[in-house]
Amino acid sequence: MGRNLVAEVSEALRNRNQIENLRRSMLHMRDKKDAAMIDYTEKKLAELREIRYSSISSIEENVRELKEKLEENGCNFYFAKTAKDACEYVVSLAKAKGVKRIVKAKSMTAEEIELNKWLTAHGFEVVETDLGEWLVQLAGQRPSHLITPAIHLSRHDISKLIEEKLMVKLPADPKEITRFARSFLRDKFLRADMGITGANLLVAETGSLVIVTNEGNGRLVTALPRIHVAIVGVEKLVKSWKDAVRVLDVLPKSATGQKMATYVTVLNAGSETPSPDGGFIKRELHLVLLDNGRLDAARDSIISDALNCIRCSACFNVCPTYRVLGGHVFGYIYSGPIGIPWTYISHGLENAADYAPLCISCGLCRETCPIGIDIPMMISEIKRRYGERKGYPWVDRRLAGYEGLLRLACRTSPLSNFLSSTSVSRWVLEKLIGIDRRVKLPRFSRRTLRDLAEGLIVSHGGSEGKVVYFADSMAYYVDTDVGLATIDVLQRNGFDVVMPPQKGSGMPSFLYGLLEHTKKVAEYNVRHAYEYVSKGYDLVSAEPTAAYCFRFIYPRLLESKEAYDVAERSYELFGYLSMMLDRGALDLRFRRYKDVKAVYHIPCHSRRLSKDKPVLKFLEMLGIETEFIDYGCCGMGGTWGMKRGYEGYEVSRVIAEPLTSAISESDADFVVTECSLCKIQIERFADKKVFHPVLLLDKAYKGLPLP
Amino acid sequence: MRAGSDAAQRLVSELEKLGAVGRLFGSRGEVVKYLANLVMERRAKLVLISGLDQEFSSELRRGIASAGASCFELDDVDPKDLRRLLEKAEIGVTGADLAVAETGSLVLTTRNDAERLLSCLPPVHVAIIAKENIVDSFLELAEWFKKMQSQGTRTVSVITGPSRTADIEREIVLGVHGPHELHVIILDGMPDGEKSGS
Repeated sequence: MGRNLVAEVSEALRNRNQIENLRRSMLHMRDKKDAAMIDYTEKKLAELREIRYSSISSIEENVRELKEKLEENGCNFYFAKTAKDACEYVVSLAKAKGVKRIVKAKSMTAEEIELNKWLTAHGFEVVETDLGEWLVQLAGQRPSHLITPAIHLSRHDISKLIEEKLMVKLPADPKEITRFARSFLRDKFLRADMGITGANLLVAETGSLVIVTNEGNGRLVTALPRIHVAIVGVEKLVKSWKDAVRVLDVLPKSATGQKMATYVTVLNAGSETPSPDGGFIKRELHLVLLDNGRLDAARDSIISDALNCIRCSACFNVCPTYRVLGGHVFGYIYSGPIGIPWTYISHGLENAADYAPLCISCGLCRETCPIGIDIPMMISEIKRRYGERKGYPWVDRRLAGYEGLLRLACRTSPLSNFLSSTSVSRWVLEKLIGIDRRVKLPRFSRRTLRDLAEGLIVSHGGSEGKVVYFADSMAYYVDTDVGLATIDVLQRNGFDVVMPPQKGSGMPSFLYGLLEHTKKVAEYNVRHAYEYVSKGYDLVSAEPTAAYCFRFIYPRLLESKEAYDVAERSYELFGYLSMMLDRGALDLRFRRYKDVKAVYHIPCHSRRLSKDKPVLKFLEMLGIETEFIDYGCCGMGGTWGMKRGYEGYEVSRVIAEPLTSAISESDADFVVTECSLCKIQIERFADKKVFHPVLLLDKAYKGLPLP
Repeated sequence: MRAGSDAAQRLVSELEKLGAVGRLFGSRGEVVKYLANLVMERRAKLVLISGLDQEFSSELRRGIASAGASCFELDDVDPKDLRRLLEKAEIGVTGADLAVAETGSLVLTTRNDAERLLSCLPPVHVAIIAKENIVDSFLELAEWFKKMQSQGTRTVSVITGPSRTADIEREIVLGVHGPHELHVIILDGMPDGEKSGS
């Protein structure tokens, strides 16, 4: 382990300008992406997913076809097993052909194999030509983002950089800087003997390379020099043009919010190019097809999902920790959420596990990914593989076993509540369990929800049917009022409610990669839920994360019929109530309020459970004027934001800033959110009370004033 | 692949959103006038033309010359001067095989890289396309790409707006490595067989 993540994080958090710039940029890109993808229906996305899956499963036959076609067209095809093989091929080619000057178009694959190092070590002049990549090269850094490599540099940083490295004084103005770069790099293009690119796609049926750029550097790199080398990962192969156009259609929309990238270059041979010395010369085209771990990954039942990535970088825009730390901390060579499995594939377990702890399993990456790649699952699996080999961090093991702590605190309340407010015991808690002493701990209930609900859960011969209520730990030990309100609202709507034996959802252990533990919890919860689900009950939870576990995580971990059956019938409360509303079955005899204002914060896991934000609809029905503030994840990540210092709490605090300051500044009376941990986070950093919407609905049913 | 009747209008409006210029003309004479005007406004000294039929090309050359610029058909340039002239040209005029209304894209095929460089190197690119070669959507092009890439080794370039970057603080700047300006001229009523690649 070469890295001290805590030190890197603490340094990154001191760079306030970078945090603000990055956050603004990422929010901007997120919104542009969402707007551009508006016509992408679930069906279109599913077709796209199918295209990627089938491309990866037929990788080997596609390679054969591609090679055949390229060689028919007189191109050179080289299959590089490792990064070293690829670099050696390029170096020896450049030497054999008397190359001196090389221009490159941005290629993460070339970054992956650290080609520039090899080339410069052998005395070649190598110049990056993508504006951002050129700036990063000037600065002697690595790209901090998949498609916008210099996102971490401000215009002032850049003008200083150019002055320092090239002795040219430029105003801190993107237009001026770009104009200078154009003329500086134009000369490099015109004098280069070799151009190096990646490719966004390879199309097997015609042996074509597809190169996408916005600046036009990709065109010049492939049209001017006498040799063109493309270094491309095998996963970029698609079988047909039918598939290729689908990927090309979605890529720019998901990447930058453009309907189409500015330049798409399609070539399948080296063409004749006008030589600087007069006349035409025929360009050599070399395709270096790179494996470097990909073919092994294709056989890995969990990590193979990463190969479906089209490198649009949409997952970066929404990742809460990436957004404040940037790609130099949240990355190795590949950065961002998908960078973790990509690092695993191409640079090994250790390098991936080094920064994997920065993933807080909010799942927003999975949500925004146009292919629907299950990034959090891969990251948890990487944490597991590392943990199994090297041991899990002690704090993670403690927090994964949070339920025992809650049970104990509940049993010893009010003593536990007293202790959680003294600085001595908080110090002890920080030392023993790793919970930052500044986290606002909830007040533990004196009795568990089961004790409180005794006598309430009896059959009423419900007309609407039967539901399994899954409380999850917080409603069970802490926010028991949420549990009671949920039971009440369901019963009022004609349901028989049962509460089979249950353990907390297990999300913390999933987050820290203690998947054996999560599996045990999943088995237990699914077994007990299945007893009722098999008799026609639906499962409902008012805790979004719990419903998320039942719906998406348990079936993937257990892969059993029971888990899939339970998943299919698991709902979060408001999604469930909203379905009732739609079919006219909801009891609408509740009080309407006046002159009440609220802010709604949507929990990350709710986004995937119910696409249309049902809580907003209910708040409107209750007459509550609601402002929806959307900065994405609040940064809590369940237990992650409780971890002491720079392991969690400090980062979590900075992530929460825009959300909590917007909340503090709003004139709302309170905040509404369904997640019990978002509640802790928001109440810690914003100056407002937070309520679960079911508490409001329950009050309204009872005709009571709002809290 | 015939496009809907409003395709030309949609193409123009997409181009404008991209920071390009889209013009719909009914005759070649109007195109010549437009180009002559552009040459004067940009004070261009050297214009190169490629991918149009001989007659149209010579009409344009006459018009451009009268506006005060040297103008050559790319095929007529002595290969020993080709690279030098391409580096020097201020305006490149090309044909286009297809245009896509929904995305505002042009699709060009080129036989060699002198033709391709004509839409890369000069700061201004003017592309002329027959109205009937506009298609509605990009997804329709799958078969066309396949045909083009099976029939030989022409390079295909899809161009959607002027060269751009947002690499510095996400601020959009036009004209990084490719043309700053893109003018797309849609010619209504151009007889068949008068465009490159058909």
